Order: sequence, then C-alpha cells, then structure tokens
Amino acid sequence: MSALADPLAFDAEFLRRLEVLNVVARKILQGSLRADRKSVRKGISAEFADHRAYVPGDDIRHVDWHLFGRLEELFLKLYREEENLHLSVLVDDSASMRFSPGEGQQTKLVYALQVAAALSYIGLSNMDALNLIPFSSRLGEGRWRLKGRAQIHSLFDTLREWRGREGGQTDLAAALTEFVKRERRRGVVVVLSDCFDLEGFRGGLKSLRYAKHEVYVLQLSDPLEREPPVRGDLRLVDAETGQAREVNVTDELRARYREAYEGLLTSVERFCVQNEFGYSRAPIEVPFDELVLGILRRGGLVG
Amino acid sequence: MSPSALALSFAAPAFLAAGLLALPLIALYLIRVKRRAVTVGYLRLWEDLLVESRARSLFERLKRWASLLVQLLILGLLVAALLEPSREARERESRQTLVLLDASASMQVREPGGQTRFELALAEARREIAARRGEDQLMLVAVSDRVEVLSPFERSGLRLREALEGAAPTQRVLAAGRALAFARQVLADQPNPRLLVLSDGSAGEVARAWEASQPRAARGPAAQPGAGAERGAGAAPSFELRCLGERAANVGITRFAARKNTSLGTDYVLAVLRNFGPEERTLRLELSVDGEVKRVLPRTLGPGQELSERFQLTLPEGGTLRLALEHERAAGDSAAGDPGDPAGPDPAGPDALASDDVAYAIVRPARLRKVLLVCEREAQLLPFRLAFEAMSEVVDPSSQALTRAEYEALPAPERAADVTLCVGRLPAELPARGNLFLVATPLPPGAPAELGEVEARPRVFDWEREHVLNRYLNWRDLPLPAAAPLQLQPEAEALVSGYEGALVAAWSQGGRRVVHVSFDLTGRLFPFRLAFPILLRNALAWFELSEDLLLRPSYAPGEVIAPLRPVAGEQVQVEFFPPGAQEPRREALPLREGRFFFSHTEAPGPVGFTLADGAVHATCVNLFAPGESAVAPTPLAASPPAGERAGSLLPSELWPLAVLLGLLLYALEWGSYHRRWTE
Repeated sequence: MSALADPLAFDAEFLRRLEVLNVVARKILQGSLRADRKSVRKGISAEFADHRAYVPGDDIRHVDWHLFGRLEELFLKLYREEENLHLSVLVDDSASMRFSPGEGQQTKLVYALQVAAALSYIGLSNMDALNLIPFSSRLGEGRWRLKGRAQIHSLFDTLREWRGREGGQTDLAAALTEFVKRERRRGVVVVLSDCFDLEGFRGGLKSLRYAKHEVYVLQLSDPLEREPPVRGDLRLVDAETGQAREVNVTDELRARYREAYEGLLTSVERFCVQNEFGYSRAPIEVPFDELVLGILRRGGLVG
Repeated sequence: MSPSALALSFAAPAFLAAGLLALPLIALYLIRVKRRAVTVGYLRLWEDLLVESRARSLFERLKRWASLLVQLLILGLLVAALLEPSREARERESRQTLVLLDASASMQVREPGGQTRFELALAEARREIAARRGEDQLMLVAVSDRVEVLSPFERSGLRLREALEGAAPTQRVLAAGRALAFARQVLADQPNPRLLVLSDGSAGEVARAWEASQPRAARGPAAQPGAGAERGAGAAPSFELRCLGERAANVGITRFAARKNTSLGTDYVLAVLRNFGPEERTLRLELSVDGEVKRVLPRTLGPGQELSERFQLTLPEGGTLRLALEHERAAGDSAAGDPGDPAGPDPAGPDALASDDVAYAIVRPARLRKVLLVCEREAQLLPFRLAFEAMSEVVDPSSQALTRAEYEALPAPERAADVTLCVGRLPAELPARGNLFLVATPLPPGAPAELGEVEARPRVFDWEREHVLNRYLNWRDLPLPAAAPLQLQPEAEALVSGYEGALVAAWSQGGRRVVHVSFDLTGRLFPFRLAFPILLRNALAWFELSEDLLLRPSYAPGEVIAPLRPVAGEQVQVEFFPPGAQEPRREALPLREGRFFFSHTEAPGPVGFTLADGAVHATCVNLFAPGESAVAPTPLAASPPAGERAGSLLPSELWPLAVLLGLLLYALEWGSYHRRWTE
C-alpha cells in the first residue's frame, strides 16, 4: 500500500479534514467545550458551591465566619473548582479489531484509530486533557494526560505504532476496570470497540459508570462481518482465540448469522441506553469524519 | 450356474487401466472434503447456530461418503463401458472372425419391418461386434461382385462400428465363390478362424460356393455351422451363414435383348421373365421405344414359372427399348417403387426387388451394306446383279458386280466394302478390311483350313441348322456341283459338312469374318441360284454380328464399361441416368490410349457414348441375375444354436449411452456440490 493511500498516514489531507472537523465542532458545541468548563468536583475557587461541617485539620481560612456568627457552628465554605475536560479515548486493539473477512480491506482497528485521531485532535485543540489508551484483555501502553495541540503529531506516531502490534483477546471488563483504577479523575470516556465480548462488556462499562465517568460507546462493525462472503463446508477459526468449528455454511445459515449479528449490536445498544451511556454504531464503510460530526451533532459525546 | 458361465471377458481390456483414475478421484475428493479454513471475528456468534447443525453432521458425513461412492460408481460405469464386457458362454481361445456383408442387389429388399436386408446385416454385424470376447478380432468385408474391405482385423469395437458406417448396398450381383475364396485366403494364417456371412443366401449361391470351396475330405458334416470351434492357425475356418430376410415374392426380368434381322429388315426383341415367388402373380408388361409405349401385355405367372416373350418391331432408325413390369396392386396400395430407387418398393407391395422390374436394350439403326462382287467372267455377274436388286433394303446402291480385272482397276478407296464376294479366283490383292464371301476360290493366306481333293459329286452329310447362315435353307439331298471340301482347323466352323470335309465353312481371320463355299453356285445349280439372295442376307446378318462393336449390348450393375476396341480422339461424351434421376446426365470421359472407363453403372438404364467423330454407341445396364432376383432367403440346412453365441452384458449400442449417462450423473453430482442444489 502506498503512503498516500495509507489511512493512518495522517498526512496534510488528513489534517485538513481534522481542522474542518474541529471548526465545525466548535460551532456545534458553542463553547460548551471550553477549557474553563466547570468541574463537578468542588474545591477552592471564586464561585461558592456549598458548605460542610468543619472537621479538625481543615484549613480555617475557608471557615464561613458569617455562618458561625449566626449559628455558632463551624462550617467550611466550598467553592466550585474550574478545570479542563478529561477526555479518555479507549481503543480496542484486540485481534478481532485487526481482522477483516475481506482480503486487503480496511480493518476496524484502522477505522477506530482514525476516529480516535479525530477526537484527540478536537480535544487537544480545546485544551482538554486527553488519555489515549489501547486495550484488549488489559490496558496497553497508551498516552496519558496529553494537553495542547502540539501533542498531536506525537500522538499520530503512537497511533501508527499501535497498528503494527499483535492483537490480544478482548476482555472489556478487565481492561475497563484497570482503567478506572488508574484514572481517578472523572471525565468523558469514549470506548471504541466491536464489543465482541458478550460477557465482559456489561461489567466493564458499568465499572466506568461507577467511577462517575461519562461513557460513550462507539461500536464498530465491518460490512463483511455483517454479511460474511463465505459458503460451503468450512472450518471457521476465531480471530482472537484460535478456536475452530466446522460448519456447512448455507444460505439459510447465513441468514441466521445476520440475525445473530444484528442481535449483538442491538444488545449492546440496549444496554447503553438503559445505563444512560452514549452509543453510536460505527459502520466502517462510513467515512470517519462523517461519523464524528454525526456524533457531535447529536450532542451525546460531550456537553 | 457354473463359475465359467459367470466369467467376463472384455473387448478392450487395455481400458482397465482407466480404473486407476479412482486414485486421483479419491484424492481429489479428500482434498475437496478437507474444509477450507476461514477466520471470523467472533466465533461465538456462529456457535449457537452450530448447535443445530451439529445434529445434522452425521447425515452430512454419510451424505459425503455416499457422494464419493456415487462418484466411484460412475467411474466404474465409465471404465466398464470402455471395456465393453461380455459374458462368456464357455471358455475358449480368442477368435479371428471374418464377417462378410452381402452388399448385392437382393440385400436391398425391404422387409416387412421397414428395414432393408442390408440394414439387418449391419445390425447383425453390430451385434457380432458387441458379442466379441477377450482378444477376439473382427474383419469386416462387404462383398458383391467385388470385395471391399471395410476394416482389417480389429479389436476395437469403436473402430469396427465406424467402419460399418462406410458400408453401402449395391445393385450388383453376388460373386459368392470369389468372396469365399478371398475369405479362405485371409483366414488361412489366422488362429482359430471363423467366417461369418451375413446374407440372404443369394438363392443358395453362398452355400453352394462354400461347399465347392471345401477340400474334398472336409465336405459334409465338417462344413456345417459351428463345426471346428477350436482351431489353430492354418486350420479350416468354422463357417456360419446368418440368413437374413423373410420376403420371397418377386418377379424379375432375367433377359431382354434386341437383334436386328438383316434378312427381313426387322428387329427381334426377346424378353424372359420369371416368377421367383411362391404365389401366382399377375402383371403387365410394358414395352416402350424411346419413351413411347409400343406394347402392353397382361400376363400371369405361376410360382416359379418362366415366360419368354418375343416382340417384332421395325426400327430402321434404331432406338432404346425399355421393358417394365407393372404389378397389379390391391386397392389402397401405394404405387410401385421407382425402379431407379435403390430403396426398393413399398414393403407391402407385391414385388420385393425393383431393380429387376425394368430392363433396357439398344436397337442399332439399320445400315445398308456395300457389297462388291468379283467374278472371273461377265456371264457370272447376272444372277448376282439380280440378287442385289432384290436386296435393295439391305444393300447399298454403291454395291457393284465386277470382273476381276475391273475390280483390280478400281482405286483402293473404292475397293473398300462391307463384303467382298469373290467367285472362282481371288483378286491379286484382298481388301484390307471388310468381310469375305468366297465361292469356289482358293483359300486366302492364313486361313485355318486346307483345300481337299475335288469331289465330283459331293453329298451333304449334315449342316448347322441353328447357324444364322443356314437360316431358311435346307441342304438335304441338294445336288451339288463338284467341290473341293475343306479340312478345317479348330478355329474354323463347318456350316455344311460333306462326307469328305466342310462344304461351307466360316471363320474369323484378321478382324473380319470369312465364309467359304467350296462349290460354284453360279453354274447350273438352279435351286441355289434362287436361294442365293437368302444366303447373302444370312451372310450379311452374320457379318453384322462380327462388326467391330464398340460396346457389349448389356452390362451388369457396377460393371465398368470400357470400349472393346480403341477409339480416336481425346475424349468421349457419355450420357446416363444416375440412380433415381429422371433426366440424363452428361459427362466427358478422357481417352487414354484410345480407351475410356465408365463406372457410374449402379442403376439399370441406358448409357450412350458420343465419339469424337460424332458416332453414337449405346449400351445398357441391366440386372439379369436370377441369383439376385430369387429373393427368398436360403439358409443352410442347419442353423447355429442360439446358445452358442456369446452374450454381451448390454447391447453394444447401449455402452456409449452408459458413458453419457455416467458423465451426466457426474456433472449433476459436481454441480450439486458446488452450486448447493441439494442443500
């Protein structure tokens, strides 16, 4: 494949598309993505937020003496702390994401990396703090707490490196639990995955909710997976586990497979809706910038 | 059933090696059965579906193995078809069989089933090909008056059947003796030889010829069919005549000829018919000249009856005679078949063979003969001059009666004549061509006779009453003048014999005919002087027979017409009727050393040749063959037992169908697998 045709070349054309995306995103969000957005975390700031009872050891400078005068009890004044948005983009780089049923076709991982690059660019442009982390059965070596647009090129390099690595087995529960342990600060977590982990994806996403993160799931799907071009007596091998099953693929079986695949997508979507997670299907045949704009327009990702 | 009865033999055992194709077939099948590995992103999705399909896996496997078995079965069928297996009736050595297919005219008889006898013979030959076993070899030969090898000794059924495709019936006569002599020669060096003749028997001709061809010691029971089943190389072949056909009703023309009677100036036509069938037949004889019907005669012939019909016509200009038999048909019968149609008449018709229902003859135009009479004395000329006047319809006006001196004074071209009649002495120089009528003259040089002593009162002992020269003459008790009887050599013929030698003799010498009368008939023999015109007419008629004819009056079908003497020019034009044609066809025949060869003589009909000088010579093709007209099949006394014949597991014609069926099944199986028709 030539460099020009490489979707992860992140060349000038790619950057131009990201910039357009960024401008459009600004118009859509109308400042809601300001770097000075208010944090839900209460701390010391100019804007009063609440009171709480004094406990020994508290800084007496924050005691509300007016209230003490009226009530003769010590209360501390609490202020709303101002901070940047913490955006975490978690990219599933398991073997199923690296595999495409079509020979030489774009994989879900490449598409996910393109979307991740776009979201990262928008986030860094808005002075958000960015975590970009791969995962499969556990978290991979990602980039933590990036800030500023100047980071974008090193981030692209990182994304390119990810593509060349071996993929593991998907374990959303373990990986997301590990993320929650490592990232104490609440923020927006975007999970880019095919969710080929029927047992683990629920537990993993729930652990993000318990950590007060805003979760957005982008479920990637390959058209060749939705409609696999296979027929006849075959030995089906799982891309992640290597397990194999012999099957005689008939038209009837293919129809039933389509129903099962659609059922998988629907079950993830239903779970996300029920748990108030943002959710979008990401068919990889849709250009990544259209997908990102669609997500921003719906306003579900941030804000 | 004995084990030997179950043994199989194969016509083409070399194809057994084709069974090895089973190995790659199985290998290909195993390759095909080995499933192609396909990677999927999430196998878990498939697994729920596989639970249901696992229940069918046993059936799937069985189905797959059944598919392999079907393929092997198909391959076995194909190999078996190539091998052409046959069931052995009994064990024996391989046999060299020469099959003689009778392709003569009678084999064109169409049987009630609609097939001609020749088609039945072809079917029998195909059955024989199918029934051959092991290393058996067959040679196929079509015979009529010629021998045509269709295939040399061959083991391959395919090639033998292909050779049969080239066989065609003819309108020729079967020369059984020649065919069997050929067969004996071919089979002489073959091990375990066998001769199979597929024929209608040709009126017993085949059996007679076979009997005649046997060595004296071998005649009798050894010649019966099936004899000598186990024979080595050089042994006499076993013989089998497979007699074909059922129909026997046929009336045919066995002779038809026209002769010009120079004595009377008329033409005699002779026709001989014969009813070869077992039932009485009523028919019409229709005689036409140049397409114009001249006589129509109803006739009834009993079984086996022969009928001779004579017609007298006067055809000074000559013509082509056609005699046709019209059989009376029951109401509703279709018209009789065209005699030119080789397929023959309608099977339901009263006559089995059309070729002998028509015959042709040529009447040559009358020609006046120039006669030169040479006498010693003027006084001898008078009776001859009177005779010429009485013969003006046969004698050319340029004929003359001359003294010898006058004759010798004539320039050479004027001395040319059809007949030169010399009395008393021979001229100093005889004409180069033309016939001689010598009266009491010395013998010309080279004559096959010698003059005897002069007999004062010779007496007639006997005379050839059937000879043309003696027609209307009675020599009994005729008082003859003195004569010198001839002592004849074998080449000469005595027409009137005295006690001391031939009084009248005739012979051919130097391309002409010579009549010699040993006494002077111009003297006081008054009765003979009156009879002289008759004698001269007879002589002219006899001379006419000797005229250097270019062609024979009739030829057999298939016979090559060639001139009897060389002709001048570079080519001749021939006009003839191809089989079934209503209009004549004209062709140019090249001349090589004065000869031409015309071979389009398959069908009866007239054939005319126009020479470079414009002279027209005609002849005819006729089937005058009682052996062919007698269409009743004539088998041998004993027929071979049916059980003796080897039985093919399938009729040979079905093996190619079996091959096609196998290929079709294989294509269906293959398509079913790959296109999933059966899923």
